[in-house]
Amino acid sequence: MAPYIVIVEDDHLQEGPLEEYLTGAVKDADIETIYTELEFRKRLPALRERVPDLVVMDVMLRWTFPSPHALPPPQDVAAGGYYRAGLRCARLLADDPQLSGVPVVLYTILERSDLERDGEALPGNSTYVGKNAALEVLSRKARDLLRVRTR
Amino acid sequence: MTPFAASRTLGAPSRWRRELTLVALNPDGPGTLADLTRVLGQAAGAEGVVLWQARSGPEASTTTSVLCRWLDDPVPPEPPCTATPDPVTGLAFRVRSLALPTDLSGDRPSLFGLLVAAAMPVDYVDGSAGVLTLLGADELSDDAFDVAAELVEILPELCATLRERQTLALVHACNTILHDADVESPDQPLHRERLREHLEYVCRLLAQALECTEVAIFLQQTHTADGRYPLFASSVPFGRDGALDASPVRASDAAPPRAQAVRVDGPLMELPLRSGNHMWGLIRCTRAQGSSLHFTSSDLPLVGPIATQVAQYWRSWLHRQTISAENDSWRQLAAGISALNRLLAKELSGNAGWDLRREMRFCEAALRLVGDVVPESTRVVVSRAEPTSRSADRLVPVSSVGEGQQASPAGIGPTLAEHVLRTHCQSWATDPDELVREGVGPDAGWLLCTPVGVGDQVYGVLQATGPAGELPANSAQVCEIVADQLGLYRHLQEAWQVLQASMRRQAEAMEDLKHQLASPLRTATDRADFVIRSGRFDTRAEAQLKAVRGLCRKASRVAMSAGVFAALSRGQQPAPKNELLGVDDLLRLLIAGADDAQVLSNPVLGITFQVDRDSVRQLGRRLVDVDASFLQQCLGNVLDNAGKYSYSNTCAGVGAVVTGNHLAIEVSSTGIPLDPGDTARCLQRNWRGDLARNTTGEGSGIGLWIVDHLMRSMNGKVQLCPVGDTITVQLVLPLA
Repeated sequence: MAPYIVIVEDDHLQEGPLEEYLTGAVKDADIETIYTELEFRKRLPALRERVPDLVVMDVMLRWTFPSPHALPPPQDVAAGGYYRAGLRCARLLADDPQLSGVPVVLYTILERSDLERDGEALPGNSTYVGKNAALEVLSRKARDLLRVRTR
Repeated sequence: MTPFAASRTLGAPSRWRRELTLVALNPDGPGTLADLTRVLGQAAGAEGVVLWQARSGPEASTTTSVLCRWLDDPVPPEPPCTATPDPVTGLAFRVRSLALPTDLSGDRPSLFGLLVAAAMPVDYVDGSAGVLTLLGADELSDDAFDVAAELVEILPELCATLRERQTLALVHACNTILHDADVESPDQPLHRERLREHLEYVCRLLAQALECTEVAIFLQQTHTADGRYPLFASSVPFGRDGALDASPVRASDAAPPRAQAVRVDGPLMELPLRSGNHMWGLIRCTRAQGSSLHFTSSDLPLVGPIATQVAQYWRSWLHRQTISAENDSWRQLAAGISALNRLLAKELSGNAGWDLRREMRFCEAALRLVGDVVPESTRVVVSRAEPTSRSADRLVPVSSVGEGQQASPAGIGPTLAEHVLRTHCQSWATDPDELVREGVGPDAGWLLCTPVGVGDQVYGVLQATGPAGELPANSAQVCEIVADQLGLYRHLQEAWQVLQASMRRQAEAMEDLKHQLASPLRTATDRADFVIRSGRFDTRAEAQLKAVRGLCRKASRVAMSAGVFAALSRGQQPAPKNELLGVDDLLRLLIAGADDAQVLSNPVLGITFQVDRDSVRQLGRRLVDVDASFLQQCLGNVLDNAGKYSYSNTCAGVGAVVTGNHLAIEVSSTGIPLDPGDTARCLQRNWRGDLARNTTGEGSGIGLWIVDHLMRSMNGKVQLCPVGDTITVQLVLPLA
């Protein structure tokens, strides 16, 4: 069965190459891209229906694209802000009974120490891969996680 | 009858005069009135002598008192006797001349069990009348009369001298006692029990000099004059539990006195202890009930100076005690404030943030301090002012110590507290009705409300209450100091939160910068990698390379922004290298900027970037004096914002307007609206509009801040003109 990978990345310039690379690196992968935190939250029910095998999550993530009809963020998002949106999304998965087993790769330009600056540990379902590393590092990590998942 | 003078008189009058004078003028110390009467009796050969003094009573009546007496053979016990003079003595009082039993009919009268021999008038130096009664079974001989008459002549002077010397000796002795008390405890007020012992010594000396049963000193216990003076010291021991010994009359038996004036009433004499206009207590001297020895006004000069000394010492002692108590309370307060500050420092160094639990802990420590330093307070509450939808803040109790710790939601003294919150001034109530209205109950005697704040900022109210009828002496100052400390705590708490937020913003800005710097280069690298791997140059490869170019320019711009950011953070200003740009150079610069923005923009959103070439060509042959790289930087930042905040399927237009000696490059876009009131704040460092933050979230608020500095360094400026969803950013530059 083709692995189902969800990329959560708001920068289209990065998302394009990333999707292309993962397509080449993971055979027959079905890759879906989500651009904003709001979109991710809206997609959660659908993700419960079809549980991803892997989520590649950016950390700095915009809430939504500008629109005259944009929904305002809930209290926790407004308070937490843009800089840790990916961590919030990863926690939503970790706390969800149906999605807690989905491995998440936090793929970010930030250092791991930046993420742990406020003394909070990364969500239990997450591993960290820095964007400064070559894409091969990400693809290797993705393949490892998928292998564990399918086994 | 045999004249007793023949057998009892022992010498010439001069000898007795000398002996009598010696009693009064003895350099080793004055004798007593009894000594005088003894010498006089011995000189006259009498078996006993009684010295009388007339004293004024109420309604101008005159009664007599026995000043002193001498009996040659007082054993067996002194028979009871009243102060009523015998008929012979009474006759001498009336006629003011020698009176003999023979002057009266009937039996020869007796006194103290002895027959009266004669009575001689004595005129005291204070103008009062007196009589000397000679007692004896024998008649008074002529010689004895002559001796007695001669001695009686000098008796008033000697009595006065003797009393003066007695007074001086007493004053000296009292002085020595009180001086010893001072020396015993030079720095602190003498301990109360030790002072009592010293004053008991004074009482005993006075009782001895006055031949009293008891001398007692009653003293006011505080500065508050309530007209009652409890017993403090007595010449005879008295039980602290109120059990008295079996003296017939005790000075301390009576209820605490209220007398304000001198009172000389038979066996009782009272003198107020005055210093200035204030009465600090009184001295009460008592002789046995039924005693023939009565006090007279002649005794007052003896006691008066002692009363003054005791009054002054007591006032000074109370004053020293008050100062000492105040010093103790200030020391306690200072120690408490230090402890509070240590707690504050500990909380600050903990770096774990502030929460309600920490605030309550600090408030409780502060309230306990008030309770310790103002022991009269039975309940202390601190309430926090919280904003409400109404104009006035609402007070919410944070912490409470003392009785009734379950503070009601409205706290105590709500009306007074709200008044304090409005006026920022300390206020108190002692009126019973007002206290009941304030909800502090009928047992409270005072309520003190103090604003908690720093400067003009008031954060809440500190309330203290207690049962006394008036505000405790230093409570207002103590509450003010503690409330200031609480205000300082709150101020630090807020400052700490601001600092934390600022540090967080700084960290986020650095993260954003890192993101902006590294991401384009990382992406450019990946895209270039794809082109290389594909091994062919087609339209897709061309698009990839254009993106790489745009990303590299963006990375270059961000790197420059980082440099400017660093320089501005160090307080340095950017230094432009101006050159003159013509219309073609300017057009190329604007088109390149718009192209890069287009390449970097998400095609899904459909935002287009277009340059209005015609508007730029209006520049004609004129030149712009500008640093091209600075302008590129400014334009790039403004176009970045346009791409970030524009609605999908809108157009971001780039154009120019020539006005007089200025060129304004305009970037107009339609997207998240900017409140016109925020246009100035847009140029501040780290400022971000609420809508922008809540919608996209990205950005750190330094882009326009950098643009503002770069434009001003080129003698230009940046202007923002928001109209609804459209915003036009103008980069205004001087024309050459």
